[in-house]
Amino acid sequence: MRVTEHRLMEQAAAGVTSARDKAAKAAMQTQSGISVSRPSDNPSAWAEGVRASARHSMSEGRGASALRAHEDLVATDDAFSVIGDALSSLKALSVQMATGTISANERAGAVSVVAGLKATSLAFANVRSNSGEYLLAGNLGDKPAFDANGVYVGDTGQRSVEVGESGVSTSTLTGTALTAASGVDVFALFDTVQTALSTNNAGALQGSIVTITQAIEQVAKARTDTGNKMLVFETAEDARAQFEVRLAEVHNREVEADPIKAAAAFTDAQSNLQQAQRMAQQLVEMLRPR
Amino acid sequence: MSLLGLLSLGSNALTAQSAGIAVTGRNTANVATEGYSREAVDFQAELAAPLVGGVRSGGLYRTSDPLLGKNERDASGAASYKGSLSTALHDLETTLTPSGNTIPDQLANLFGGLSQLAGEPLDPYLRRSLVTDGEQVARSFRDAAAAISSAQDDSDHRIRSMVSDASALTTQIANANKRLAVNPDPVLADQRDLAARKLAELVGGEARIDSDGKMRFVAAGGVVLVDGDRAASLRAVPDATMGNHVRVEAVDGNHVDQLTNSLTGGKLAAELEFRDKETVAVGQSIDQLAFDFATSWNTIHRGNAALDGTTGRDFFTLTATATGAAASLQVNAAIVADPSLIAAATPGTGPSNGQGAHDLLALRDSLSAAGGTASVLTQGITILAGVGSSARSADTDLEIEKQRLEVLANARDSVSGVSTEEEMAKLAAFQHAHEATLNFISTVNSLMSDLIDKL
Repeated sequence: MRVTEHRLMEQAAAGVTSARDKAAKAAMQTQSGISVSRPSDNPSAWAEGVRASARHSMSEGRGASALRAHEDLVATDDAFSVIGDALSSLKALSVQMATGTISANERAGAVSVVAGLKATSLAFANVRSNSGEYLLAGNLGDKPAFDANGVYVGDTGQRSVEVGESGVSTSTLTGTALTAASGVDVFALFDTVQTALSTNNAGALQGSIVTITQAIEQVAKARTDTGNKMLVFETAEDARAQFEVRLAEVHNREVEADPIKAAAAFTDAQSNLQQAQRMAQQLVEMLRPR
Repeated sequence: MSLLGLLSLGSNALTAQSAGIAVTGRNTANVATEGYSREAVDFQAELAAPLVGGVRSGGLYRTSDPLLGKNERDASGAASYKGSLSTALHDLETTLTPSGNTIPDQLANLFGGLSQLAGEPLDPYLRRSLVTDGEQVARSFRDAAAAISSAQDDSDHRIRSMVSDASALTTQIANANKRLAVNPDPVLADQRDLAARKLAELVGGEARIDSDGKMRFVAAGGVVLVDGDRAASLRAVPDATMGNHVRVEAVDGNHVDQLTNSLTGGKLAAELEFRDKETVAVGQSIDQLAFDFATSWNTIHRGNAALDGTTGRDFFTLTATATGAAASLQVNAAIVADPSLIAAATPGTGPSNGQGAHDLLALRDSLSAAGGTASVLTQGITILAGVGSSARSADTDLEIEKQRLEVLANARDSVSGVSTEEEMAKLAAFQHAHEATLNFISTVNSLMSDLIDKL
């Protein structure tokens, strides 16, 4: 076929332009580390990348939620710990005050100690989260769980938090753990002991020791429940971290450029560009009129 | 044969060779002129009756292949169509997929924020944060709708410009037809062919030379744009039924042909396809997604309770139907002003109940979009990936058409292109012939002088 010089030069120029475009694209991929930056680069890979990114974002949300739930459970456990210690102190005091050698005045003097133990326990029973919610009030967390007399005014509602893409776990306990619904009315127990002390009733004091022991076990069980819930979130957090690593791997695989391949492709593109430029120069030299 | 006859023979030869030299010069001068076809002189040997002969230069002729020209116009129309469509679709996908800020990205952020609120429904910061996430989702839909509208307007501007160019080209071809009938200059024919190719790039179609030597151009879709000396003018008319976007018409006297839906090739067809079909389809999909998402979200939200226990409140405000839903999507102004109105609780429970938020979270995986076949996230990704897929498909088709055009351009150049080396060789041949003819004339002149002297 007849090929004119003009056509040869046009094709050589087009070759240089094409090689330059490819070199620029390879350079951009090498620098940015992204091989699929828009859907048309590879629609299915882009879609998988966006899907992985979306799942990662939602997982981070769940992680933040689970972290806060764990913090609230730690606060709840601290509260139960203090209440448990108060009950232990109450028991020790009751045992001491129940002995026959204690005078009425001594028993009367212990009333304020019990009142202090009750007040401390009540303050911790109305523990609040960092955002101000009363943690043991059930669904009524905008108000204290227990009134000034130690009567539970919350409800039995419990909240759940996501622990995975398709799982939830209960994240709260209610103040019913400290009421007769769970065995012993803890705050009424403080009142009982106070009354026994103020009326110098050693028999009632002796009788309350068993109930106090039950209350201590009841609070210990609440702590166990709290601990179990915390463990669920701790385990879920580990799983979440691994899940997010896998999602990041998926995203990288679909969207990001393999640095070695990208560098090799860039080197090839550069080499092709230089070759195209050399050929164009040789063509110019060859076709130059003598 | 008389000596004077021989002189006449020599004179004709000089004229012919001069014509050859002139044509060689013309070819060389136009080696890089777009659309120029190599010219040659039609040398004709004179009849010898007896001892008489010589050469006569006939007219100029263009070395061109009409079939190649037709195929090249076809390929130009097809390549231009795919090129325009590819460019427009790539621009659209760029505006619809800002990195990390697409509709699916914002939906994922919203669900992430909702997860947190489900765990701490009373937290005012998380409520305010959810409002912000909701506003960003709404903004991403509005931005997508605006991007589509803007793409349509840009396409409309390009259509107007192309219509003007096409109209000028039809006039140019008709004028060339008129002039060629009087003066069959090959350059005029080249210019007419070039105008036809450019017109084919705009509107696709076919051009043929009738028996009277005049070009007839029919646009892809069958509308005659040039018929001999008559040219239809194209016009872009704003049409209220098309949102004041233009419809394209071909006007020939009182006859008007609608081209908007009949063009099938060239850049104009691509822009019309993009403006009236591609963008409309994407826009409708995004509107439907916005409507499905916001409607589902609102249904759940209305059934749950705010912090004050009240129910029946929409989270999003939008249109009553899917049409225009994306452009109008907003977070309820009452909720923006007071995030405590976010309904995260089951009615009749209490403000710390987060079940309402969990109910909303279920939307993440429920098949509430695409007619109940996909989740909102999946459908959002599918719509955007679809734009990319269309652009990639147009790119692939464009590469094929470009290769076809390359082959045809090579073939055309093979027939009509100017090779400076060939022209230099011809020039040398004409130069030698010219010198030889001068020698011949000199010899005849010498013979005549001898004869006159002898007489």
